[in-house]
Amino acid sequence: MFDLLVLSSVAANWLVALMVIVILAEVGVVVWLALSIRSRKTAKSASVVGQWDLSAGDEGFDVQKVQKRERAKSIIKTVFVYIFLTICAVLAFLPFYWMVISSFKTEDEYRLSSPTFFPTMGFQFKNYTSVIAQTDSSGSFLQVLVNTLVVGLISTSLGVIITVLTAYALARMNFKGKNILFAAMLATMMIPGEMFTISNYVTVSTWKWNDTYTVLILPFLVSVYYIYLLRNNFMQIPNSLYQAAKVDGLSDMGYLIKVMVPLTAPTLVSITLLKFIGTWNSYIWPRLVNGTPDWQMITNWVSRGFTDRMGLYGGRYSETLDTLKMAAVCMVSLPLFVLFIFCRKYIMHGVSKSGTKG
Amino acid sequence: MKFRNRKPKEVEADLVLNDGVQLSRKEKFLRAFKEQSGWLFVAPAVILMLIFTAYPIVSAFINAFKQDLRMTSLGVTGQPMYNGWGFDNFVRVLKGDTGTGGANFLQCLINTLVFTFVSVPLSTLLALLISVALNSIKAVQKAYQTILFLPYLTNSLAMGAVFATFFKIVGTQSSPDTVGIVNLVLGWFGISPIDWMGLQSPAWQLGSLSIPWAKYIVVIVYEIWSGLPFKILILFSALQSVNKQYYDAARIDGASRNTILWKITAPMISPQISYLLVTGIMGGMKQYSAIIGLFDDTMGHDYDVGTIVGYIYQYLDSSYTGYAFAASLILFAIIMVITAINLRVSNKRVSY
Repeated sequence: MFDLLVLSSVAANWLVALMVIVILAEVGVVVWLALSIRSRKTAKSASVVGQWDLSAGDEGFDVQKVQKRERAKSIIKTVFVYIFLTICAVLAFLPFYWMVISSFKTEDEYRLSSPTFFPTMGFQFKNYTSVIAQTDSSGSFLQVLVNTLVVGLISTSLGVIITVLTAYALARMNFKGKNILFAAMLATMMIPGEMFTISNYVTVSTWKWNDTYTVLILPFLVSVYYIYLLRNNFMQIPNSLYQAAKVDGLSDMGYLIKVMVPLTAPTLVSITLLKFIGTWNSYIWPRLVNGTPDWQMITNWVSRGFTDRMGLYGGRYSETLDTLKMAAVCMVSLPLFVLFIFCRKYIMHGVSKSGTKG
Repeated sequence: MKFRNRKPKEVEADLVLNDGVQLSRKEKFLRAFKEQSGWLFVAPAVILMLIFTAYPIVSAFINAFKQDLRMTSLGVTGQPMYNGWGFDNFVRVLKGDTGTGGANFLQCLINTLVFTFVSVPLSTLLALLISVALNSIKAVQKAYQTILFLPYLTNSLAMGAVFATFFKIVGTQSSPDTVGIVNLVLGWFGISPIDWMGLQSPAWQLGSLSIPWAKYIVVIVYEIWSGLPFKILILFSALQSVNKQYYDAARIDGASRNTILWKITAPMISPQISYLLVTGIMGGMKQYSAIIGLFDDTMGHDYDVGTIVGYIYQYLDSSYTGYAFAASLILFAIIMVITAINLRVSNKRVSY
């Protein structure tokens, strides 16, 4: 029935592709090794004093043989390291590749008994247009996109302003109960978010806030974690700067805007990006509070089943189609990648900060 | 009032500090206001947190004890009605006797524990290996780092759907169109296709519970993949900040590579490792959206791969709010216990 035991031509296709990647990596490694060994040699002769590198002419010197053996060993080790890393990188990347090629396949090709490595029946941009055009009870793409952008922009900008103000007050200003307030805020990080979510759900339902933007924005404006992060960042700015600004007649607000914010710009950019990504990926809360699909967010849209409503396959498939779903998945993932390509530094900075300081 | 209790000398000193000028009442008030003006800065955050963070905690503790709390039956005030107080919700949740045909708490608890305690250590170990490898190379290090970080930025629902296509058998059960990549690869080694996610998915039965191990594998593979990037990022930056002199000293003493890895590197980055384990376990106990991405809203068949959070949301969705509150308090208790254990252990084991 399955005749999988035979290494099919398509399976071989896969293997070949994998091997090509590995081989390419290997070539890179070898070239690099060749270059680095030469540079290491010159470096050695420049830095190590005397006897080790005394000479090319000193044949039969024991140390050189040992050195050579060591070098060979380390080269082999390096090669293994590169192979290991390459395999890991390929595996990490595979889902993305599969997602993209599946989104361009026809459903017929997608369902071949041995998967193809590349859309051989031509690229199906129809998958995308079909997914975008589907406007019925499950909400339209444009509507959820607008929702996500509006909610994302408002909640990100408001959230960042609130974070900056709070972090500044906690870092630089003195007022009664500051430490207790800060401790209380940190303590809430221990509590699982689900407890808030369900209580908030009851709250906003009794307030009749369902199917609004407000309900998507307000409950998640304050994130203690970013306040904590930014506060630590503010604390690192020397106090003398503050005193100098005070002498120059700058108010607290002026100091915050003119000195603190520019100095902590990288962290602020990271927070902004991560907050926006968080909104983009939000799923549970919108589904809970906004029952109407047209009020939900883009991730809710993706999680729906996409059937062949455009009649791409003449009614042959009545169930949900994975190719259409992959097209939707691609459309949701693409902005994140674009963001990552342009803001890699800030995102990684933000994430690693949140790691080391958590 | 305060001034009266003080000795006159101190009062004098106070006033001298204030630029030696006697302050009028208005000025004093202004000064006091200025000193407390920090509250103006924190006010938006504090107000929002009072409504959406502080109140919910109180409300969760109250609502969990309201019996038969249903969102569908709203009273005159718009608040959901309930039927007396008691531990009824907790008892029913723990016994699995909710009478709604919904998810089973014990099943969800076991699932969550398995997912967490298998995937977190595995992915941490793998991340450690990858970071050590990454740290030992120079060329194209950045490129590898970037590729390995990519999965972090993804939407778990979207990528869950992609992973589902790896494992899913498409077509009818009797004559599948395609068996998926994983089955195809397994086929090369002579393993016949497994229905990883469908109705025929293999499972062990333990009384009323089932252990759908094939579905577990799907979830764990996804968890490892999605958990790696963050762990690699943290461990890699930790490795880079280890003082190189330790390695030089060890090498002079003739330590082998393995010895260096386990006796120097691992202890030096043990704070980060313990941090990753703790956050990983915490995150694992709260996982939900990946399961939805992989298995849709039903969380497998009859919620057999449901998690605790999945349990909470399922009862919230079906408006059995009381059970959701009770389960959320149980989750809270579990997380507190894990935190306590972690504090104990990490104080002993981690070398800072």
